Amino acid sequence: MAIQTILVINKSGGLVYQRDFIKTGAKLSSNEYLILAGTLQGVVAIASQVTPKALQISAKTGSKTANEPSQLIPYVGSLGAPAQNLSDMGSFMGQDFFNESFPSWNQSGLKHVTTDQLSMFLYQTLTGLKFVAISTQSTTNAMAVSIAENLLRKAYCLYADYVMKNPFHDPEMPIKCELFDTHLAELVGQL
Amino acid sequence: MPCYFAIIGARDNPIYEAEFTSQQLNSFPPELKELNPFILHASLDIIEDLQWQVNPQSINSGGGSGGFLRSRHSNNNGNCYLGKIDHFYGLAITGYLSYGNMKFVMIHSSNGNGSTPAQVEDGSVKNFYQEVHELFVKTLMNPFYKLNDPITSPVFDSKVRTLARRYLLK
Amino acid sequence: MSANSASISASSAGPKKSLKTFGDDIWKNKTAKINAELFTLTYGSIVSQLCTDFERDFKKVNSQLYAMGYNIGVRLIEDFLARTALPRCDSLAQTSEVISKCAFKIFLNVTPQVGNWSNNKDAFSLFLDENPLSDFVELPMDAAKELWYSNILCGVLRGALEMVQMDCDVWFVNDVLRGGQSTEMRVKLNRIMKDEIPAGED
Repeated sequence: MAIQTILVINKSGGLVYQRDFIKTGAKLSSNEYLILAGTLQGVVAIASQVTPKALQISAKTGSKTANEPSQLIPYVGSLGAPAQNLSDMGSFMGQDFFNESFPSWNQSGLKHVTTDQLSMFLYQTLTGLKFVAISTQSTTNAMAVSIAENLLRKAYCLYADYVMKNPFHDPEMPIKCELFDTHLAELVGQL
Repeated sequence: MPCYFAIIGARDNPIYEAEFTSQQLNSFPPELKELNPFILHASLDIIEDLQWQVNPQSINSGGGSGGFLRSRHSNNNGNCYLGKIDHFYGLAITGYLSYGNMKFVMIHSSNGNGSTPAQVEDGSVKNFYQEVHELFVKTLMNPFYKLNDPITSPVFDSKVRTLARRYLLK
Repeated sequence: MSANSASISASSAGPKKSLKTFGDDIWKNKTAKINAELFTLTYGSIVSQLCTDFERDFKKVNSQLYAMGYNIGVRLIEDFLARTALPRCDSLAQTSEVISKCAFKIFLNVTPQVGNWSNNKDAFSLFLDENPLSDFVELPMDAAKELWYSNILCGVLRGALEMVQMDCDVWFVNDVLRGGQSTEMRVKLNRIMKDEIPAGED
């Protein structure tokens, strides 16, 4: 699965981080990304109100997942790729950032959107932070969803290490941490 | 035998002093008591001589620049205890140098009239000094204690007195 | 809605091991460690320097320690959640258990006792038997009446809980450094900030 873009949205809906990993992919301007972030924030809220009814959203064509009963998201080691351990996981020791299945904090909100050109996955934390991954493959199988959730949780671990522990980073402000950039690129490169 | 113990700081200022006596033993005669700080400070010169004295043993074994501060009595293994360094009319003075240049010195007097020279039992005195050194290190770990400040903590005082009872006053 | 809440509580009991083993496991295997004395001395030098900077005005030192702790707490909660992925706590009782068995264990390797619940179950106390921040510390006489040496912990708890939408007050009730019997912090829940709970949860 090739990840095209990763976005991080803070709890007030503002875009704090945006990074493209595929150089040749379609590029949006930064303004469009800001609008996209705000829209996603709103859509997640709306989705939680409207599930389990299925509705079409005008902004993006696609299908939302139906309201599944909350289950643990299975742990996918090495994100499905041949096993390579990240050389430096910051303050996380052991083989990987985490090695158990974990409950989702996003029970009834938007989790992923599939179109015929791309898929988008959204991971929301307890504090309202949202991690979004946009992939060039259009896929609906459950394995891909798990891989994406695992990837986004690992991105969350990197965020907790390199962004939160940077004393010069203001919370809710755009992320300008080089270490986070490098490690995120390494994480995505693993796929 | 009564003992007068003091810790002298790096700027030659006394940080802590205490007199250890017990009922059976006489304490220092009052007119001599005032002399005790003077006697201790006089021995500081000797300690500093010892401190910067080049130890001939280390030149042979280690090579390179010789080691400083090692007692005449013991070999070069990081020994801080200096033993009996001075005497004054029948009083013996022992010293101990910490790694941070804090000097622990003590006057040992003998029973009776002081005409018989005082005896120093190296083993127990050395143990006393080592335990006081440990207490001192714990005091240094207190963030509110600045180096070379007087030690006013009553906890420190009572612990030193307990150690003195155990090791010195027999 | 009811199906969801039933399955949420099922999933919180889902990991079959208890909170205590969960916290122990993360402490032992998944966190990098530093020398405890280095930590103690660093914190001690912070407090001592604050006392000098504020010219022994210990009320200001207390509030500055609280503000520092708050800044730490709002960041530390993300690390905690990334590491543990624990679901939202259903009640203040569960919150207190998570704080005591997981949070304190993972970050400080101590497990405070939870007790002294208020009548309407909106406040509890944490009793710290050992406090790694205050090893070797003896308060000077003027500080011993006013300074809460470990006040940074109160700030950390308040910041962290605020980021998970629980508005709490945290303060010290007792401290062995000040001559008390035990070191006791009190946590009181004022309200749950329902309007800030991220959409998508129940």
